[in-house]
Amino acid sequence: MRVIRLIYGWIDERFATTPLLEKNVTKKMVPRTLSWAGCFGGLAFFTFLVQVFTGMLLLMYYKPHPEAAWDSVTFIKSNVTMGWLVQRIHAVAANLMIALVLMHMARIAYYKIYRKPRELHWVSGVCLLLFTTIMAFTGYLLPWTQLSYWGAKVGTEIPSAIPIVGQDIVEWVRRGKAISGETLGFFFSLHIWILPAVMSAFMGLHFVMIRRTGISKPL
Amino acid sequence: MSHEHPHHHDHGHEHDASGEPVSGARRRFCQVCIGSATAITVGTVVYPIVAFLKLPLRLGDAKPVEIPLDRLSPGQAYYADFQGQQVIVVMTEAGPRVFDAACTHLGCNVVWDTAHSNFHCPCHGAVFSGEGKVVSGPVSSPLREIPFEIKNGVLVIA
Repeated sequence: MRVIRLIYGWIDERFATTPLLEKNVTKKMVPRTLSWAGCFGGLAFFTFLVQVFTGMLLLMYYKPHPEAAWDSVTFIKSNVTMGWLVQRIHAVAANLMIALVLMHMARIAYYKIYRKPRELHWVSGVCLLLFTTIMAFTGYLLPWTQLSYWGAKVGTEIPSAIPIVGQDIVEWVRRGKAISGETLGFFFSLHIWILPAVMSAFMGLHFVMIRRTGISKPL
Repeated sequence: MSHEHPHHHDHGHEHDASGEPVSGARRRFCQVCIGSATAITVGTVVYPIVAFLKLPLRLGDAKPVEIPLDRLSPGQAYYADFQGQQVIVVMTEAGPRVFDAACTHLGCNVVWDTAHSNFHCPCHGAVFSGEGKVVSGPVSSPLREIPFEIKNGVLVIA
Protein backbone atom coordinates (compact mmCIF):
# COMPACT_ATOMS: atom_id res chain seq x y z
CA MET A 1 0.00 0.00 0.00
CA ARG A 2 2.84 2.41 0.90
CA VAL A 3 4.48 1.79 -2.47
CA ILE A 4 1.21 2.40 -4.32
CA ARG A 5 0.69 5.62 -2.38
CA LEU A 6 4.23 6.75 -3.20
CA ILE A 7 3.77 6.07 -6.93
CA TYR A 8 0.36 7.78 -6.91
CA GLY A 9 1.85 10.77 -5.08
CA TRP A 10 4.62 11.05 -7.67
CA ILE A 11 2.09 11.09 -10.53
CA ASP A 12 -0.36 13.35 -8.66
CA GLU A 13 2.36 15.94 -7.99
CA ARG A 14 2.99 16.27 -11.72
CA PHE A 15 -0.43 15.84 -13.31
CA ALA A 16 -2.79 16.99 -10.51
CA THR A 17 -4.91 13.82 -10.83
CA THR A 18 -6.67 14.18 -7.44
CA PRO A 19 -8.89 17.19 -8.35
CA LEU A 20 -9.71 15.43 -11.65
CA LEU A 21 -10.72 12.21 -9.86
CA GLU A 22 -12.70 14.11 -7.21
CA LYS A 23 -14.62 16.09 -9.82
CA ASN A 24 -15.47 13.10 -12.01
CA VAL A 25 -15.55 10.10 -9.67
CA THR A 26 -15.16 10.31 -5.91
CA LYS A 27 -17.02 13.58 -5.23
CA LYS A 28 -19.27 13.62 -8.27
CA MET A 29 -22.87 14.34 -7.29
CA VAL A 30 -25.63 12.17 -8.73
CA PRO A 31 -29.39 12.72 -8.18
CA ARG A 32 -30.42 11.33 -4.79
CA THR A 33 -33.49 9.66 -6.33
CA LEU A 34 -31.51 7.78 -8.98
CA SER A 35 -32.41 4.09 -8.62
CA TRP A 36 -30.35 0.97 -9.32
CA ALA A 37 -32.00 0.84 -12.76
CA GLY A 38 -29.65 3.68 -13.69
CA CYS A 39 -26.79 1.12 -13.76
CA PHE A 40 -27.80 -0.70 -16.93
CA GLY A 41 -25.93 1.60 -19.30
CA GLY A 42 -22.73 1.31 -17.30
CA LEU A 43 -23.16 -2.45 -17.02
CA ALA A 44 -23.66 -2.72 -20.77
CA PHE A 45 -20.37 -0.85 -21.20
CA PHE A 46 -18.76 -3.26 -18.72
CA THR A 47 -19.90 -6.28 -20.78
CA PHE A 48 -18.43 -4.54 -23.84
CA LEU A 49 -15.06 -4.39 -22.04
CA VAL A 50 -15.41 -8.07 -21.06
CA GLN A 51 -15.99 -8.88 -24.75
CA VAL A 52 -12.96 -6.86 -25.80
CA PHE A 53 -10.64 -8.64 -23.37
CA THR A 54 -11.98 -12.19 -23.82
CA GLY A 55 -12.05 -11.54 -27.58
CA MET A 56 -8.36 -10.61 -27.54
CA LEU A 57 -7.57 -13.91 -25.82
CA LEU A 58 -9.66 -15.97 -28.26
CA LEU A 59 -7.98 -14.20 -31.18
CA MET A 60 -4.65 -15.78 -30.17
CA TYR A 61 -5.91 -19.14 -31.48
CA TYR A 62 -8.92 -18.45 -33.72
CA LYS A 63 -8.39 -19.01 -37.46
CA PRO A 64 -10.90 -17.29 -39.80
CA HIS A 65 -10.84 -19.93 -42.52
CA PRO A 66 -13.66 -22.40 -43.34
CA GLU A 67 -11.31 -25.38 -43.04
CA ALA A 68 -9.72 -24.23 -39.79
CA ALA A 69 -12.33 -22.20 -37.89
CA TRP A 70 -14.22 -25.05 -36.26
CA ASP A 71 -11.01 -26.92 -35.36
CA SER A 72 -9.46 -23.79 -33.87
CA VAL A 73 -12.50 -23.17 -31.63
CA THR A 74 -12.44 -26.83 -30.56
CA PHE A 75 -8.73 -26.44 -29.86
CA ILE A 76 -9.44 -23.43 -27.63
CA LYS A 77 -12.15 -25.31 -25.76
CA SER A 78 -10.23 -28.57 -25.23
CA ASN A 79 -6.50 -27.87 -25.39
CA VAL A 80 -6.00 -24.33 -24.11
CA THR A 81 -5.98 -24.03 -20.32
CA MET A 82 -9.15 -22.20 -19.23
CA GLY A 83 -9.97 -21.83 -22.92
CA TRP A 84 -13.43 -23.31 -22.38
CA LEU A 85 -14.09 -20.65 -19.74
CA VAL A 86 -12.91 -17.73 -21.86
CA GLN A 87 -14.93 -18.98 -24.85
CA ARG A 88 -18.07 -19.47 -22.70
CA ILE A 89 -17.69 -16.03 -21.07
CA HIS A 90 -17.42 -14.45 -24.54
CA ALA A 91 -20.60 -16.22 -25.70
CA VAL A 92 -22.64 -15.64 -22.52
CA ALA A 93 -21.55 -12.02 -22.07
CA ALA A 94 -22.68 -11.36 -25.67
CA ASN A 95 -26.23 -12.34 -24.73
CA LEU A 96 -25.95 -10.43 -21.47
CA MET A 97 -24.80 -7.31 -23.32
CA ILE A 98 -27.87 -7.32 -25.57
CA ALA A 99 -30.14 -7.83 -22.54
CA LEU A 100 -28.47 -4.94 -20.68
CA VAL A 101 -28.63 -2.60 -23.67
CA LEU A 102 -32.36 -3.35 -24.02
CA MET A 103 -33.00 -2.82 -20.29
CA HIS A 104 -31.05 0.46 -20.44
CA MET A 105 -33.18 1.60 -23.38
CA ALA A 106 -36.43 0.45 -21.74
CA ARG A 107 -35.71 2.67 -18.74
CA ILE A 108 -34.85 5.67 -20.94
CA ALA A 109 -38.07 5.13 -22.91
CA TYR A 110 -40.24 4.63 -19.80
CA TYR A 111 -39.04 7.83 -18.08
CA LYS A 112 -38.97 9.77 -21.40
CA ILE A 113 -35.35 10.71 -20.79
CA TYR A 114 -34.84 10.98 -24.58
CA ARG A 115 -36.57 14.39 -24.63
CA LYS A 116 -34.71 17.70 -25.08
CA PRO A 117 -31.77 18.18 -24.46
CA ARG A 118 -31.00 14.44 -24.78
CA GLU A 119 -32.34 13.60 -28.26
CA LEU A 120 -28.91 12.79 -29.68
CA HIS A 121 -28.12 10.54 -26.72
CA TRP A 122 -31.07 8.41 -27.84
CA VAL A 123 -30.07 8.52 -31.51
CA SER A 124 -26.50 7.45 -30.79
CA GLY A 125 -27.90 4.82 -28.41
CA VAL A 126 -30.12 3.32 -31.12
CA CYS A 127 -27.07 3.17 -33.41
CA LEU A 128 -25.19 1.37 -30.62
CA LEU A 129 -28.06 -1.15 -30.29
CA LEU A 130 -27.80 -1.81 -34.02
CA PHE A 131 -24.01 -2.28 -33.79
CA THR A 132 -24.41 -4.57 -30.77
CA THR A 133 -26.83 -6.83 -32.65
CA ILE A 134 -24.55 -6.91 -35.71
CA MET A 135 -21.68 -7.84 -33.39
CA ALA A 136 -23.74 -10.73 -31.99
CA PHE A 137 -24.81 -11.81 -35.49
CA THR A 138 -21.31 -11.73 -37.01
CA GLY A 139 -19.78 -13.41 -33.94
CA TYR A 140 -22.33 -16.23 -34.20
CA LEU A 141 -20.91 -17.31 -37.59
CA LEU A 142 -17.27 -17.45 -36.50
CA PRO A 143 -17.23 -20.93 -34.82
CA TRP A 144 -18.44 -22.26 -38.22
CA THR A 145 -20.85 -24.81 -36.76
CA GLN A 146 -24.04 -26.06 -38.45
CA LEU A 147 -26.01 -23.71 -36.22
CA SER A 148 -23.90 -20.68 -37.11
CA TYR A 149 -23.90 -21.51 -40.82
CA TRP A 150 -27.69 -21.76 -41.05
CA GLY A 151 -28.11 -18.84 -38.67
CA ALA A 152 -26.06 -16.67 -41.00
CA LYS A 153 -27.96 -18.01 -44.02
CA VAL A 154 -31.36 -17.14 -42.55
CA GLY A 155 -30.15 -13.82 -41.14
CA THR A 156 -28.59 -12.60 -44.38
CA GLU A 157 -31.81 -13.59 -46.19
CA ILE A 158 -33.71 -10.79 -44.42
CA PRO A 159 -32.77 -7.89 -46.75
CA SER A 160 -34.18 -9.87 -49.72
CA ALA A 161 -37.64 -8.60 -48.66
CA ILE A 162 -36.62 -5.10 -49.79
CA PRO A 163 -38.05 -4.43 -53.30
CA ILE A 164 -35.66 -4.16 -56.29
CA VAL A 165 -32.30 -3.88 -54.42
CA GLY A 166 -33.03 -6.63 -51.83
CA GLN A 167 -31.23 -9.46 -53.61
CA ASP A 168 -28.20 -7.25 -54.31
CA ILE A 169 -27.93 -6.38 -50.62
CA VAL A 170 -28.10 -10.07 -49.68
CA GLU A 171 -25.26 -10.84 -52.08
CA TRP A 172 -23.25 -7.85 -50.88
CA VAL A 173 -23.54 -8.96 -47.26
CA ARG A 174 -22.69 -12.58 -48.13
CA ARG A 175 -19.83 -11.52 -50.44
CA GLY A 176 -21.36 -13.83 -53.05
CA LYS A 177 -24.45 -15.93 -53.69
CA ALA A 178 -23.94 -18.34 -50.78
CA ILE A 179 -22.39 -18.34 -47.31
CA SER A 180 -18.73 -19.14 -47.95
CA GLY A 181 -15.21 -18.49 -46.77
CA GLU A 182 -15.62 -14.93 -48.09
CA THR A 183 -18.59 -14.41 -45.77
CA LEU A 184 -16.55 -15.72 -42.87
CA GLY A 185 -13.69 -13.34 -43.64
CA PHE A 186 -16.06 -10.37 -43.99
CA PHE A 187 -17.91 -11.16 -40.75
CA PHE A 188 -14.58 -11.69 -38.99
CA SER A 189 -13.25 -8.27 -40.02
CA LEU A 190 -16.54 -6.64 -38.98
CA HIS A 191 -16.52 -8.49 -35.68
CA ILE A 192 -12.97 -7.88 -34.51
CA TRP A 193 -12.02 -4.53 -36.03
CA ILE A 194 -14.58 -2.47 -37.91
CA LEU A 195 -17.50 -2.66 -35.47
CA PRO A 196 -15.44 -2.38 -32.25
CA ALA A 197 -13.78 0.75 -33.68
CA VAL A 198 -17.09 2.32 -34.77
CA MET A 199 -18.74 1.34 -31.48
CA SER A 200 -15.92 2.90 -29.46
CA ALA A 201 -16.40 6.16 -31.34
CA PHE A 202 -20.17 6.14 -30.74
CA MET A 203 -19.70 5.24 -27.07
CA GLY A 204 -17.20 8.07 -26.64
CA LEU A 205 -19.74 10.47 -28.13
CA HIS A 206 -22.53 8.97 -25.97
CA PHE A 207 -20.46 9.45 -22.77
CA VAL A 208 -19.22 12.95 -23.63
CA MET A 209 -22.80 14.07 -24.34
CA ILE A 210 -24.09 12.69 -21.05
CA ARG A 211 -21.32 14.59 -19.24
CA ARG A 212 -22.28 17.83 -21.01
CA THR A 213 -26.01 17.61 -20.34
CA GLY A 214 -25.79 15.77 -17.01
CA ILE A 215 -27.96 12.77 -16.24
CA SER A 216 -31.70 13.30 -16.10
CA LYS A 217 -33.01 14.20 -12.64
CA PRO A 218 -36.16 12.28 -11.72
CA LEU A 219 -39.02 14.29 -10.18
CA MET B 1 -19.10 7.34 4.02
CA SER B 2 -17.54 9.03 7.04
CA HIS B 3 -19.34 11.83 8.77
CA GLU B 4 -16.60 13.77 10.40
CA HIS B 5 -17.35 16.07 13.26
CA PRO B 6 -14.89 18.70 14.35
CA HIS B 7 -14.82 17.57 18.01
CA HIS B 8 -13.30 14.24 17.00
CA HIS B 9 -10.11 16.02 16.21
CA ASP B 10 -10.04 17.87 19.56
CA HIS B 11 -9.26 14.64 21.47
CA GLY B 12 -6.23 12.45 21.10
CA HIS B 13 -8.27 9.41 19.94
CA GLU B 14 -11.45 8.70 17.94
CA HIS B 15 -14.92 8.16 19.39
CA ASP B 16 -17.94 6.41 17.92
CA ALA B 17 -21.43 7.99 17.71
CA SER B 18 -22.22 7.26 21.37
CA GLY B 19 -18.96 8.77 22.57
CA GLU B 20 -17.17 5.44 23.28
CA PRO B 21 -13.52 5.34 22.22
CA VAL B 22 -12.93 3.36 19.03
CA SER B 23 -10.56 0.43 19.53
CA GLY B 24 -9.77 -0.07 15.84
CA ALA B 25 -10.53 -3.83 16.01
CA ARG B 26 -13.78 -3.45 14.06
CA ARG B 27 -12.14 -1.28 11.48
CA ARG B 28 -9.35 -3.81 11.07
CA PHE B 29 -11.92 -6.61 10.77
CA CYS B 30 -13.71 -4.69 7.99
CA GLN B 31 -10.44 -3.95 6.25
CA VAL B 32 -9.49 -7.66 6.28
CA CYS B 33 -12.95 -8.66 4.96
CA ILE B 34 -12.93 -6.09 2.15
CA GLY B 35 -9.29 -6.84 1.37
CA SER B 36 -9.83 -10.61 1.09
CA ALA B 37 -13.00 -10.18 -0.97
CA THR B 38 -11.06 -7.90 -3.36
CA ALA B 39 -8.15 -10.35 -3.54
CA ILE B 40 -10.48 -13.29 -4.33
CA THR B 41 -12.29 -11.27 -7.01
CA VAL B 42 -9.06 -10.12 -8.64
CA GLY B 43 -7.68 -13.67 -8.41
CA THR B 44 -10.65 -15.26 -10.16
CA VAL B 45 -10.20 -12.79 -13.02
CA VAL B 46 -6.41 -12.91 -13.26
CA TYR B 47 -5.97 -16.69 -12.84
CA PRO B 48 -7.93 -17.76 -15.98
CA ILE B 49 -6.18 -15.08 -18.05
CA VAL B 50 -2.70 -16.18 -16.94
CA ALA B 51 -3.68 -19.85 -17.40
CA PHE B 52 -4.98 -19.06 -20.91
CA LEU B 53 -1.59 -17.61 -21.86
CA LYS B 54 0.23 -20.84 -20.91
CA LEU B 55 1.36 -23.13 -23.73
CA PRO B 56 -1.67 -25.22 -24.73
CA LEU B 57 -1.71 -29.02 -24.74
CA ARG B 58 -0.88 -30.23 -28.22
CA LEU B 59 -2.13 -33.76 -28.62
CA GLY B 60 0.27 -34.52 -31.50
CA ASP B 61 3.41 -33.96 -29.42
CA ALA B 62 3.61 -37.31 -27.68
CA LYS B 63 3.21 -39.35 -30.85
CA PRO B 64 6.16 -41.66 -31.64
CA VAL B 65 7.56 -41.82 -35.17
CA GLU B 66 7.11 -45.25 -36.77
CA ILE B 67 8.79 -46.16 -40.05
CA PRO B 68 8.60 -49.70 -41.53
CA LEU B 69 12.14 -50.85 -42.34
CA ASP B 70 11.16 -51.94 -45.88
CA ARG B 71 10.52 -48.28 -46.74
CA LEU B 72 14.18 -47.47 -46.10
CA SER B 73 16.65 -48.22 -48.88
CA PRO B 74 20.47 -48.06 -48.68
CA GLY B 75 21.97 -44.62 -49.20
CA GLN B 76 18.57 -42.93 -49.00
CA ALA B 77 17.28 -40.61 -46.30
CA TYR B 78 13.84 -40.45 -44.75
CA TYR B 79 12.64 -37.19 -43.17
CA ALA B 80 10.21 -37.19 -40.24
CA ASP B 81 8.86 -34.85 -37.57
CA PHE B 82 9.59 -35.88 -34.01
CA GLN B 83 8.25 -33.63 -31.21
CA GLY B 84 8.27 -30.60 -33.47
CA GLN B 85 11.82 -31.09 -34.77
CA GLN B 86 12.97 -32.64 -38.00
CA VAL B 87 14.82 -35.93 -37.83
CA ILE B 88 16.59 -37.75 -40.67
CA VAL B 89 16.71 -41.53 -40.88
CA VAL B 90 19.60 -42.80 -43.02
CA MET B 91 20.08 -46.40 -44.10
CA THR B 92 23.84 -47.07 -43.84
CA GLU B 93 25.66 -50.30 -44.52
CA ALA B 94 25.67 -50.97 -40.76
CA GLY B 95 21.92 -50.42 -40.49
CA PRO B 96 19.65 -47.42 -39.92
CA ARG B 97 20.76 -44.33 -37.99
CA VAL B 98 18.66 -41.40 -36.86
CA PHE B 99 19.96 -37.84 -36.62
CA ASP B 100 18.55 -34.57 -35.39
CA ALA B 101 18.42 -32.47 -38.59
CA ALA B 102 19.49 -29.31 -36.70
CA CYS B 103 22.99 -28.29 -37.79
CA THR B 104 25.28 -27.96 -34.75
CA HIS B 105 26.48 -24.58 -36.04
CA LEU B 106 23.38 -22.34 -35.90
CA GLY B 107 20.47 -24.79 -36.05
CA CYS B 108 19.41 -24.78 -39.72
CA ASN B 109 18.03 -28.11 -40.96
CA VAL B 110 20.63 -30.13 -42.84
CA VAL B 111 19.68 -32.07 -45.96
CA TRP B 112 20.86 -35.47 -47.14
CA ASP B 113 22.98 -35.39 -50.25
CA THR B 114 22.36 -38.76 -51.92
CA ALA B 115 25.13 -38.35 -54.52
CA HIS B 116 27.87 -37.83 -51.89
CA SER B 117 26.22 -39.77 -49.07
CA ASN B 118 26.65 -36.91 -46.63
CA PHE B 119 24.68 -34.15 -44.92
CA HIS B 120 24.84 -30.62 -46.22
CA CYS B 121 23.72 -27.49 -44.38
CA PRO B 122 22.13 -24.86 -46.68
CA CYS B 123 22.94 -21.93 -44.35
CA HIS B 124 26.75 -21.84 -44.04
CA GLY B 125 27.88 -24.85 -46.02
CA ALA B 126 28.71 -27.26 -43.21
CA VAL B 127 29.16 -30.86 -44.34
CA PHE B 128 28.69 -33.94 -42.13
CA SER B 129 29.50 -37.52 -43.09
CA GLY B 130 26.88 -40.26 -43.28
CA GLU B 131 27.81 -41.10 -39.67
CA GLY B 132 27.11 -37.50 -38.63
CA LYS B 133 30.82 -36.60 -38.17
CA VAL B 134 32.13 -33.17 -39.17
CA VAL B 135 33.70 -33.11 -42.63
CA SER B 136 34.04 -29.38 -43.29
CA GLY B 137 32.49 -26.00 -42.60
CA PRO B 138 32.13 -23.77 -39.53
CA VAL B 139 31.17 -26.61 -37.17
CA SER B 140 33.04 -28.39 -34.40
CA SER B 141 30.61 -31.00 -33.09
CA PRO B 142 28.87 -33.88 -34.88
CA LEU B 143 25.12 -34.12 -35.58
CA ARG B 144 23.09 -35.23 -32.56
CA GLU B 145 22.05 -38.87 -32.82
CA ILE B 146 18.59 -39.87 -31.72
CA PRO B 147 18.02 -43.25 -30.06
CA PHE B 148 15.51 -45.62 -31.64
CA GLU B 149 14.22 -49.16 -31.37
CA ILE B 150 13.32 -51.78 -33.94
CA LYS B 151 10.12 -53.66 -33.18
CA ASN B 152 8.77 -56.28 -35.62
CA GLY B 153 10.51 -54.70 -38.59
CA VAL B 154 9.37 -51.18 -37.69
CA LEU B 155 11.77 -48.42 -36.67
CA VAL B 156 10.31 -46.58 -33.67
CA ILE B 157 11.51 -43.21 -32.35
CA ALA B 158 9.83 -42.51 -29.00
